[in-house]
Amino acid sequence: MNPRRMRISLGAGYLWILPAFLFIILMIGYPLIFNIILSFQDVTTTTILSPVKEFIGFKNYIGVVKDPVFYEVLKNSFIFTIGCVFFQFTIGLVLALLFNLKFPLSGSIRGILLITLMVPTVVVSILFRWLLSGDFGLINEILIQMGILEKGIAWLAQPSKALGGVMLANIWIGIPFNMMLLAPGISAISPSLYEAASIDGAGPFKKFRYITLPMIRPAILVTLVLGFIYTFRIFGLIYAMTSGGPVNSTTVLPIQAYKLSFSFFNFGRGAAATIILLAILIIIILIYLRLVGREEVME
Amino acid sequence: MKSAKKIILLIISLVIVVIMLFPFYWMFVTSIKLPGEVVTSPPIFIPRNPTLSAYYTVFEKWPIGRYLLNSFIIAFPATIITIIMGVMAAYGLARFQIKGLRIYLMVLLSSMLLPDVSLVLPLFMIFSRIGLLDKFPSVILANVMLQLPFVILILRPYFSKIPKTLEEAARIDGCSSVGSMLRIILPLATPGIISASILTFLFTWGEFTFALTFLSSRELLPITIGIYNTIGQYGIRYNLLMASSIIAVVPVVLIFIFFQRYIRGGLVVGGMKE
Repeated sequence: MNPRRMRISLGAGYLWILPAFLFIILMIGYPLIFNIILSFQDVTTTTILSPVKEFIGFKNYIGVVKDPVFYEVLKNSFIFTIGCVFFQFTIGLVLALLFNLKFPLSGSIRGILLITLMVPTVVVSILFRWLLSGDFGLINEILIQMGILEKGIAWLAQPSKALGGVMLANIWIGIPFNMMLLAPGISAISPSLYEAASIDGAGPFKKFRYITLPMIRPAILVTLVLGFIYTFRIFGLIYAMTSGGPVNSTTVLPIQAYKLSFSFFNFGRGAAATIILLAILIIIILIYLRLVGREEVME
Repeated sequence: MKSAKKIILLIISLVIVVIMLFPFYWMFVTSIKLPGEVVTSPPIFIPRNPTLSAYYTVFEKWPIGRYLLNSFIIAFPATIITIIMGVMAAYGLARFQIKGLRIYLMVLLSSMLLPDVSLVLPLFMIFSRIGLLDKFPSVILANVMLQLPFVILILRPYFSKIPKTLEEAARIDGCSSVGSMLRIILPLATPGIISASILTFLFTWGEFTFALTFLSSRELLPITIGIYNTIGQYGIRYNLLMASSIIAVVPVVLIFIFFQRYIRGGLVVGGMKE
């Protein structure tokens, strides 16, 4: 290729990415900046139509944080996220280890489980509303048959139990997701490592502790951090199950942000709440990068 | 491994699958029960008089057919637009020296992590200003936005893998840049494009937040929001809700069965899509 052709093909590279680039700027970049601007403005139903909105500094942020509900919302968010990530990850890891063993159908069974990831979240919400229903819900009926409960509990209608019910639904979706992220790392470990350990007399637990865990550490970190982010930002699943109730007991930060805008029509505060949500996620990513970075330095 | 051990492992994993997938079975049996068999204690696991009456009801009394059609009207164009822009961008990022490539990839990766709620409000206000609210294009565009970064990231490796010499040979034989892309590269990247299309379609099919916020006319609702809205309206009649859930899930299951290979491939390459 002569230099002129080269230059044309260099420019052509940018032409190929241009449509997607413009689209992302217009549909993600601009709205994000717009959202930040909204969070510093007084935007309610009365001011939404006026072209000039008053800048009110950090008043929206102060309003969100000083709201008596905010502490409970944050608490719900962290309980929901940490609880879900813990169970999804642990069970997902056990299943990934199980399906890594070679036995008939292990591959196809692992594949079938992935279907929970593809089901619309609303369907999962409604299904678990039914499973957790106080009147003839299957989970109650099973617990009654087993003699654990005497009478059905309306899991999603009691403030003390609703968050647990919502977590159950999300853990159910999340297990195959965690399994899928952890599986490639586990199958990539060379069998010779385990054989060498066997010769040295290591049992299954020691092999797991000293070979498997250290070898899949990077995959574990990625899975945990993605799990945290994806769980912390969940909106639809909870909204369709409980709308954040009863009495805010399942209101997590994304739900609070959405309600501030679309139920209470305080759009400025809603925007501020989403910025707080983003800030928390950015902190999590920074912690992750620091952990990964430190390990790279150590190695 | 000894065969006895293999069989034990197989039995354990079958038990796990049964537990994990039991909710789907429960959804299905509830949908084919008569109302009297839905609410019983102890529960009835195998309906004595299986019936499709719940399905008749949801098609006749609820506009489930209309909702289904709307879901297709949203998901098809969203998939096509996403794939066209995604293929172009993935090809550009894989084949050309792009300045700041790492930055583009970082932007794509981080936009996949954004919470829906951080974009739904500003887009709602932008769309209301330009008169797109409560029209299909608002939801179609939002879904393209949600899936495009993911699609570019899962397609790029497929294009990087194709040897450059193939394309150079085509150029020497007189193919234009676009011609060699369409005739040589695109066919080789087909598996990736299929898996990206399927995932885009399925995620758009199940999308909730943007459809809930942007659409209000009943005749425009996709099946996800249609089902959600019926929860309160008719009291909670679970055989009807489960029948409509089954209807919403059938296309997903069919696609999953026929294209399972592509779905898994795409998810593993993308590595990280909920």
